[in-house]
Amino acid sequence: MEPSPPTLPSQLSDSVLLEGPPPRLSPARSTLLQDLEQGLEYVRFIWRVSTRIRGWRNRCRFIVGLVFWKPFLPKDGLD
Amino acid sequence: MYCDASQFEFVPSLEQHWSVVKAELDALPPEVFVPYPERYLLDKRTGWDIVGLYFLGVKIDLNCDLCPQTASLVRAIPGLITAGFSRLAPGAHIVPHSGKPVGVLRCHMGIDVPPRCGLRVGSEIRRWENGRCLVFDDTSEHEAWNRDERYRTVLLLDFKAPDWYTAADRAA
Repeated sequence: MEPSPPTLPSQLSDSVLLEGPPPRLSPARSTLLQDLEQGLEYVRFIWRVSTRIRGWRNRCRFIVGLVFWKPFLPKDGLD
Repeated sequence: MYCDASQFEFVPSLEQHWSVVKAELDALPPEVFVPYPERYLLDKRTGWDIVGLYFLGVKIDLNCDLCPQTASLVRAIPGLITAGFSRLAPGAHIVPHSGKPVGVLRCHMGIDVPPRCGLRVGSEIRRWENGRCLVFDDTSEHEAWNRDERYRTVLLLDFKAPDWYTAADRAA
C-alpha cells in the first residue's frame, strides 16, 4: 500500500502559515570528510557537556550513556 | 505518531510555567548552547544547538544552576530521561529520521516559536505553539524545519512511556 501524504491537523488546515518541509538540498550519503568531521563533533560535544557536569562519576555516566544509549536508561528516580 | 498531550499528567504543570521557562531561556548566555553532534541529521549540517539539563538521567549541573526553576519542573516528570532546550536556526532542516529507544516518548514544549516552523511525525504535520506541548513517539519517522528568520526554541523532554501507554500500544 502506498504511504499516505502528510496531513495537517483539522484546526490548522486552513492556515497559510503552516508549511511543509523544505526540499532536501544535500545528498543523503555523507563523504569521508563529513564522517570524520562527525566524529570530531562527538568529541567536542562530549568535552563541552562533560565540563558542565560536577564530579567524575557523573561525567563517566554521561559518556557511557552517550555511547551506549539504551542499556543505560536511568531508573525512575533521578539523582 | 503524535500522542494526545492532555493524557500526560505533567503537561498542564509544564504549560502553566511556560513564562518562567521562557524567562530562564532568555537569560542564558549564548555560549552555553552547544551544537548537537549528529550533523548528518541536518540538511545543511549546521543549525541545531542544545542546552542540556539532564542527559540519560545525568544532571548537567552548571546548566541546571542557570535554569533552576526549569530544572525543578522537568525533574518532577515521572520517568524523565533527557531534558534540555533545543534551538533550530533560521533555515535549518532536521531531515527525516527515527529514534532508537522503544518505550520512550518525546515531548516538545514551544518556548520561542516563530510562525514558519513545523514538525512532521509519521504522516501528520503540526506546528509548535508557545507554552503548548506536543508529545510523540520518537521511533516514528519525523523531521523538523524552521523556514522563519528567527530561531525556534523548544523545551525537549524524553521520558519513559507510562505503563498505560505501553499496554495500549501493545493492544493496538
